[in-house]
Amino acid sequence: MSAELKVLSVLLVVWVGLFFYLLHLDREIRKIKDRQP
Amino acid sequence: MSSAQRDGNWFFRHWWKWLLFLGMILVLAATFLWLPVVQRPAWDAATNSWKPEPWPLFRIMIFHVPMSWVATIAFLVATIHSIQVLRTGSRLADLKAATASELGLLFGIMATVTGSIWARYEWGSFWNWDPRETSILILILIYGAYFALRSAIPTETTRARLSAVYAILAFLMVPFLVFIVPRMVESLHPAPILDRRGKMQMDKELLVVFLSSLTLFTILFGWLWHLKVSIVRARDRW
Amino acid sequence: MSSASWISRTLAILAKDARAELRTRYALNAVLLFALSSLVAVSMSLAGARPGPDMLAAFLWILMVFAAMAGLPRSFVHEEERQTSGWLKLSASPAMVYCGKFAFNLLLILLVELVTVPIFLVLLNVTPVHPAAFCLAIGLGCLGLAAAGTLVAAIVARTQNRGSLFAALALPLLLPVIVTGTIATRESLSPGTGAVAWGEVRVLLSYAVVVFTGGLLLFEFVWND
Repeated sequence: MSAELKVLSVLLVVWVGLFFYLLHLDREIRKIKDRQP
Repeated sequence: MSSAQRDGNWFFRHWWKWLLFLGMILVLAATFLWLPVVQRPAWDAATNSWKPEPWPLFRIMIFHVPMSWVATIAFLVATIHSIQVLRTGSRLADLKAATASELGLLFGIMATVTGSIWARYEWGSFWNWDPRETSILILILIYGAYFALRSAIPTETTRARLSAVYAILAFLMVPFLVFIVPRMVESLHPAPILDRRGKMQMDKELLVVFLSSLTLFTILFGWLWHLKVSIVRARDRW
Repeated sequence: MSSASWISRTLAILAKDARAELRTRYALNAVLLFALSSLVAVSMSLAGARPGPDMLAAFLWILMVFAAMAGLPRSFVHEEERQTSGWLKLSASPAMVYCGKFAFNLLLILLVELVTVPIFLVLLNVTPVHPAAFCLAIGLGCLGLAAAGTLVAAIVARTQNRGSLFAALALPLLLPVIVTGTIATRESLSPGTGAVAWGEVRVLLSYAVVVFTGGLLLFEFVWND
């Protein structure tokens, strides 16, 4: 694999991971807000 | 509306997050797979003329510049909310200012790191004491000190007030560091890309990808900022 | 209130601080001793070698800045320690207090420089090629140091961690002054170049104006709680 493809795949993995982590946090917050009156 | 009902249209209410997700993937893919490699003139001794030479390293700029841009925006947001703290003493404004400063620091560090990578391949060493590099480092130190100050004040209201004053003072330094010092002293940095008529220096495809990256990074900042503020409020229940 | 009375009240604050300082000489002694010892240490370690203008400028500025770090926080600690701040708040507006404190800090730094710089020039065997430019660079630098230092000293006086916190907060804010001042000083020590580095002078001047004004506007938020 060329260097460029390696860099690209690393960055893609990082981004996808980050994004889904942020979505997860979003969900957690909604759950906490739901529990509060 | 119950949580279950919320989940149903959850996908659609947060459409912009999916746009951000896809957008960033597209930008990444476009940068490495689609964009024609930027050319720059290089002197060809054999033919005694300027020949175009491929400059693949330039692609870092698609990420490095948006990061420094977001850092500046973050500090501006922090300053606006700090002014609000001084005017109303609002606890929420203080939280927003501190979170913005945190993110500014984070993006500033990322900008410095990407800048260093660029420097290593372009000019030979990771650090060159170029005025722009030095300016971002100074900004990082200034906002790092902001957190040192916050940790030294136990009383919430005093902490909000004093760190707001410091944040405003810190932001006064930004025009000096970002605009004045690099203009005055010779810099290794490439000519400013976006100020004045710089936009014409980029071809259309590069411009599209670059501007998309800029927009997406700004949206990402907005989301991170809002998320962090919500987390702290939810965790501390207010 | 007439401007004459405003000025006289501000000067009264300055006079009070100056008198208190002369009585104890705490800050003055600490700063002078520090500056002179570092100066001697630097000269000894150079051991007769003749550093170029860039190194000389850097040494001089490091001495100046560190002396300022030692002396500037004292201007507000008096108030906190002896609890005279209540009196001060009643008799003077925040703007007056700020200007008075700023003037005091400026005088303190200038006094220290007046003593240290000539000794520096003698010990390291330096003659400034452009003396007027040299004094200008140092003078404007002192203005910047006093401007940033006064506000930060006020902030730090309200916190728990006094000593190292001041340096941690003030030094990054002062880096533009240090960088520009060093360049301007270097130019004044170098032969051949056009004496005054006007670009740098402009930056130093605008820095002092911006920070002083910002400090003036923000001071009341630090002072009144």
